[in-house]
Amino acid sequence: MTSFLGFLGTWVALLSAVALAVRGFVALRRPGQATASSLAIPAVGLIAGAVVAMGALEIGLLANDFSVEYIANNSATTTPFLYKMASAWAALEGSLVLWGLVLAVFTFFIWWGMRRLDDADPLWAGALAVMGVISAFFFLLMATSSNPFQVCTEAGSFGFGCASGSWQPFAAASAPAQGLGPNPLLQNHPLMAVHPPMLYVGYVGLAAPFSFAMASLLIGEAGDRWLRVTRTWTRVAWIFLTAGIVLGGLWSYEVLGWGGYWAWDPVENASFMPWLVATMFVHTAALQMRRGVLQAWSYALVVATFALTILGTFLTRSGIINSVHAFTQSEIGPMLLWFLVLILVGGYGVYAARIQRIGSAPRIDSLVSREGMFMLNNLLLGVFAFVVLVGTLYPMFVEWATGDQVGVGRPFFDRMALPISYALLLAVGIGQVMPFRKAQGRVVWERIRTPMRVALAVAAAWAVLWRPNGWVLGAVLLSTFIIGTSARHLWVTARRAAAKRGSNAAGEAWRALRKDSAYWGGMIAHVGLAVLALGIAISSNQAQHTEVDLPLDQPVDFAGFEVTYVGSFVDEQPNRIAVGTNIEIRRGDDLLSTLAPRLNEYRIQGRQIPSPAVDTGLRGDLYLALAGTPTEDSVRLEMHWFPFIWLVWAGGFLSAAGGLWGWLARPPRRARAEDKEAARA
Amino acid sequence: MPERIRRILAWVVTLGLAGVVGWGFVAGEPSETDRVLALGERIKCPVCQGEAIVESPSETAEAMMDIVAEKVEAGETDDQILDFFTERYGDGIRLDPRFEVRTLLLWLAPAAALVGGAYLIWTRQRRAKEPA
Amino acid sequence: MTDQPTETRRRGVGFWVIVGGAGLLVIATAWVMFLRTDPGSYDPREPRNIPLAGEQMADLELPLLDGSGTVALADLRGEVLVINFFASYCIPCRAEHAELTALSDAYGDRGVQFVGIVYQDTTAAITGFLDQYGWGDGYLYLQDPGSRAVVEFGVYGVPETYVVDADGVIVHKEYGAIVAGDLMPVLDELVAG
Repeated sequence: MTSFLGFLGTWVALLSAVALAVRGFVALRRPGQATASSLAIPAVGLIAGAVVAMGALEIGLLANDFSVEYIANNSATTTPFLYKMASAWAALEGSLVLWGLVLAVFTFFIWWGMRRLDDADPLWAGALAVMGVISAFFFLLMATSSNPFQVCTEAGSFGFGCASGSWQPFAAASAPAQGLGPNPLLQNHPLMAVHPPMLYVGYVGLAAPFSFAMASLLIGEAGDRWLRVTRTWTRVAWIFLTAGIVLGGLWSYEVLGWGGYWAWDPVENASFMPWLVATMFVHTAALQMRRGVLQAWSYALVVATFALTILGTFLTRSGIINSVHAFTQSEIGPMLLWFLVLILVGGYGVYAARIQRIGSAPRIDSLVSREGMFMLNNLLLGVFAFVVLVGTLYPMFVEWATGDQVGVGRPFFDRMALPISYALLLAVGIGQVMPFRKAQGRVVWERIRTPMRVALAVAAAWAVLWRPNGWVLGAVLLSTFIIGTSARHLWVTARRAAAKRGSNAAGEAWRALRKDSAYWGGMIAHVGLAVLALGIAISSNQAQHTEVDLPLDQPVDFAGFEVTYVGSFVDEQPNRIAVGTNIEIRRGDDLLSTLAPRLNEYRIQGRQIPSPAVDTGLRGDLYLALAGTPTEDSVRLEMHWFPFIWLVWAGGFLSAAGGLWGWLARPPRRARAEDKEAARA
Repeated sequence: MPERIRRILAWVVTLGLAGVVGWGFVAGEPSETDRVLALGERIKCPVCQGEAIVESPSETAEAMMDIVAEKVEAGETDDQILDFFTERYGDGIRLDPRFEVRTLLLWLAPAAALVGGAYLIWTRQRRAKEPA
Repeated sequence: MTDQPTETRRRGVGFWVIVGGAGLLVIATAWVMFLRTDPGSYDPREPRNIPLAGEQMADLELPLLDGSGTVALADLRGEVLVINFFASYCIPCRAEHAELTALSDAYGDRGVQFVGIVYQDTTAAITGFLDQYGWGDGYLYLQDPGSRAVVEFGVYGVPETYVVDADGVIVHKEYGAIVAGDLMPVLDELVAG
């Protein structure tokens, strides 16, 4: 039943996507057909098919339908409810269903937006056609190489899991008695349920500006209409991508047990590269909409952004990370690679063929201006993305070319990323208050003078009081500078408005924040970045680590805490056995908390996963992880102290919130219209 | 003139603060680098996907961390310790690639991108300024 | 400022993006050609994946599986060694097990000592595994507490098999399950020589 429903949904969605692409492209030739009503059936069919497929998968998971190969291999009767739901994206085939669903939802929203138009519009029809091509590809993967709804035809050994399957939905099923359950690492923390879907919304959302860019090039429409139309989708994608990456870091921190949140591994890099280029795109799009410059560059960036999301999918899903030779054995690897080639060749081919028709944009007057700072931002972010790209691909490239192995990891990326990041912070601090067109030194100086002095004062006090190392001091200096220039700018804007209207400044500040929400949303995102940088610098440079054997009831001092092992426990749950210890944390005579780091042994897989325990406080996190099975009278414990690490999460989410502010905080249309009236009067 | 005096004072204070910050950069206590952990970040866990041995909870990684700790204790240099693992697992075990012919492009590409990008922006800007 | 497009203006970013992309491709291709001409570095059949080939085997003292004592690997010098890392939870290990015991039977009296080293597994589980699949005759089964042997030999995962000559030099390594005939030529040569 599950197989059949899923099969049906996949094929309905696939055929609808193909129809959408065909009809959309035909409509480019015959503009009269470029209406929402003529694309209604495929657009609705696509989302209906995708919803049915996802629904079938979730129902099958919840109902323990092990006659489906994917479910038998990625879920079990003992898996808790939340992780059963999340199992839908715990492995390749299921994650494609989610990917397809998100893609279908975005396509549907584009179609829904098109319905509001009065006339036929080739731009929208073309965008839907491109979305149709992308959707068709992903549903094709589901229908062929990576079918999540394969019927299990041979149960695995000892009745666990599934050994082989068949794509035919009515094949005779041989369901195992028990499934294998999700990878233990993926059922160890509830964040697993939200982090991947958020990243997918971010990845897939970037398909929308890509599609509109392609359509705009294909119909040879100059101007920034495609940017204005896709503004919301780009923003949603950026917000979700940002939040998804931060959540991924939080997940690593809470699950992996070594206290890190970012390891520069290829999977993380795969999500970071699109973020970097998407951030470049968000900036140039804002600049183009305001000043009309960089038209061609926006197109180039949006193709690169979308290509990087496909590259990311290829890296994480083809098995190429394990070995360059593994991906040729998977069927999906080469298919994704060909799709990447199609996007690059097709995207830049259309770009090269049509960009001259789009015409030339006005040039930038001077590099010493806001425009110039946008260029600097693009240069730094672009080099950053390039470094990550080269570092990620280089080992695969060398192994493929020569058979030799070269490792590129954290030390390399850190060395490259640090100088770029500090340069970026400086550029953000100055850039966000740089005047447009051509900046006069006097005006710039006026704007940065006070924030600079404040930053110097804070950094000087910090240096005297805490004697931090240079990295921390640099981060303090630049972060306070960014926060300072943002705050000063808001203050000056508000005071000026208050003087003009005779109202109070605080009220005017709030008004300004809401009225020009896109601009101030950007400022909030920058402040978030400053906070994030401060958090990273402090928590990594001033961390303390130790590994000790802790005898029962004998306190040990660490980072100003008194840590005592007071007993162990065994907690039997359906899917796992947790062996835990109770550790009392005191400062002075106060009992701050009792932490319970554990080892979770997952029954079916027989794997032990250490599960750390964290005491979160304003001054920092005390992070404990077991480094061995505890005994009655002693436990081996890894202890970390990460000062102010909450700044990392706070800063990351503040950045995402900045994007959200830009999107949602605008006053309703009517209020804006009144505002304009008032301004005109 | 009081305005002038105020200005001069502001400058003196600014420069003074800058001096203190400059001193802070020079005199800041270097962060306590734990050599074992630092080395652990430079060695790849052979049974994991792109994780360093310091990050991985796998038995092999733990064993390798123990060996690193012993070798640090015994007074071996960073290079000696890295070589020990490279000898056994090959160059792929290093997360911090050596600068050699094979990795030339890796190390030079970022600088090339920075210089190339800056040059491009600069020349395009210059050309735009010239009257067409 | 003028608005009429000129040749240079039209070329714009598009030109540079395409030239840049093509340039990267050319550099990458040239690089591959160059790396491949680096003498001896490219051989698809034998990638340089046996870092320890030609090196002296580590001298370790490992406890016997049955707990009856320890064996120093150095004491086994004089015999050709086939050292196999295995575990009970490893599926390919089951597949190769019969092959290994058969080889041990065939070469055992020709100066080849087979050694099984337990890879990150419990004594109970591995004993159960051997009870089920058969203990090799004259086979040495050793434990590896703290995974010392794993690191000393540079083991990535199970199963992996090393061949060590009579002087204690590592001469060969197999990744993954042994298939019939894989080791015979190597062993024949060592035994004859």
